[in-house]
Amino acid sequence: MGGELSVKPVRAITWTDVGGREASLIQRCAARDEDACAELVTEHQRMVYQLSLNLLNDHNEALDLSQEVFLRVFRTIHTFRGHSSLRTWIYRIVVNQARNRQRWWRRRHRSQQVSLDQHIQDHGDLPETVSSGPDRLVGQKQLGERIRRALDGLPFDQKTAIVLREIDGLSYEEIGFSLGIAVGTVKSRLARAREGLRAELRDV
Amino acid sequence: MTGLTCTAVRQRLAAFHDDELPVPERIAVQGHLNGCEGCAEELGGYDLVSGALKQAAAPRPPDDWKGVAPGVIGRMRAEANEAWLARMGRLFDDLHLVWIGLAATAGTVLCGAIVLGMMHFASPEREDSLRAMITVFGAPSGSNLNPVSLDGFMIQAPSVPQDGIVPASLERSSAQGEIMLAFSAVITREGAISGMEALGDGRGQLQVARLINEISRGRLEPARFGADPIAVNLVWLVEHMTVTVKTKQRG
Repeated sequence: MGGELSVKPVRAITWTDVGGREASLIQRCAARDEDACAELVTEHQRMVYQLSLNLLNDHNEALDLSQEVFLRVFRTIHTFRGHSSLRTWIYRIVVNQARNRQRWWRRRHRSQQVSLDQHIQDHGDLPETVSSGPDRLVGQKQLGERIRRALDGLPFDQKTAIVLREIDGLSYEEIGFSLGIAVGTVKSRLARAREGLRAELRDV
Repeated sequence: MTGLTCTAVRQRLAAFHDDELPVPERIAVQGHLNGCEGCAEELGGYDLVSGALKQAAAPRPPDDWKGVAPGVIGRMRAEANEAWLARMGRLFDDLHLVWIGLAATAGTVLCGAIVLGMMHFASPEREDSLRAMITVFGAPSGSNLNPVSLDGFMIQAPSVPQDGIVPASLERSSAQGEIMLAFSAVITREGAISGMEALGDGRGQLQVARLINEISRGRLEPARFGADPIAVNLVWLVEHMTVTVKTKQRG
């Protein structure tokens, strides 16, 4: 076996791959059928809300973003051509809306941002992880907090890639479609994100 | 061990962890990992990050979570309600508004037609005609059609030019028994004197009429507003002057 790296082959999804029920639902949503819209929201809202929460880390922002995402979905669903699954297409909208929101937030609140070093200097560091302590639950919670901090410290594109892969379980192809990038770029972003997170977990 | 080296395996570990390798390579990497502790430990690093991320992920909403569907549907209804077509449709709910709108439109069209007809058919020669008045109102202030009154502070008043092209000369006189004459005139932007007429005692006198005739042929330095010449209305008061009319000999 040679040294060249390869990934398993994938193929583009076509309308024929989109299930008959889903295609019918999309057509009804495009015709502004309220019941169909409610059905689509009910079906995907947990996924949208969770991804929004993982990207924005704020419950209210995530709820608001979820509503915006579905409104955007219904405004543009007539342009959906079945080049991906509906779920992946919605992921793409979530990522774009979250990116816009984060840019807006950074522009508005740049002056209020404080570096992590400054925050630690002012308020002290978070307690170190107790890897072999008696209360394993507390240790896991602290580990979760550390990884959450490290995740929030990643650039938005890397953070999105790693969240879509590790938490939402999307394939490279689906991540590429959701972020509008090539599979090679997905792999490099994932590698950089993992490198950053592993550095945070080095002493665990 | 298989034919893959540790370097080749480590290049594939991320794809192996993400289940993105083709089956043959997956089997080969798995075989290598079974016999190589170093590479297995490297894979453990991926598993550690993956496990920690799943642990740090936002919790799933509770089962009784109502979600965003009511809010989304409500906002969709509100958007549809405020859409341009919907608002236009609501205008026709109350036909009184439609009739009022139609009547107002018809009235506006009728007024426009009357004004256009008047502009087309009325004679522009008569100054007291409605067309002439509308034309004057439409002309910019300071133009020949709409001369302005002289005011004290912004306008350089018209004056007799140095080269004396006014054919009537005005000279100081100490003679007794002179009359005081007042004229009204418009000095155009080009300095021409138009619409000159005598006011008060001078009206109807032959000499005054001849004087007006001669002066009207003259040309003054026009009034100015800033650098631009403007037309002005003025009353010209002549007193203690001897007016000598030099009528050119013709033939």
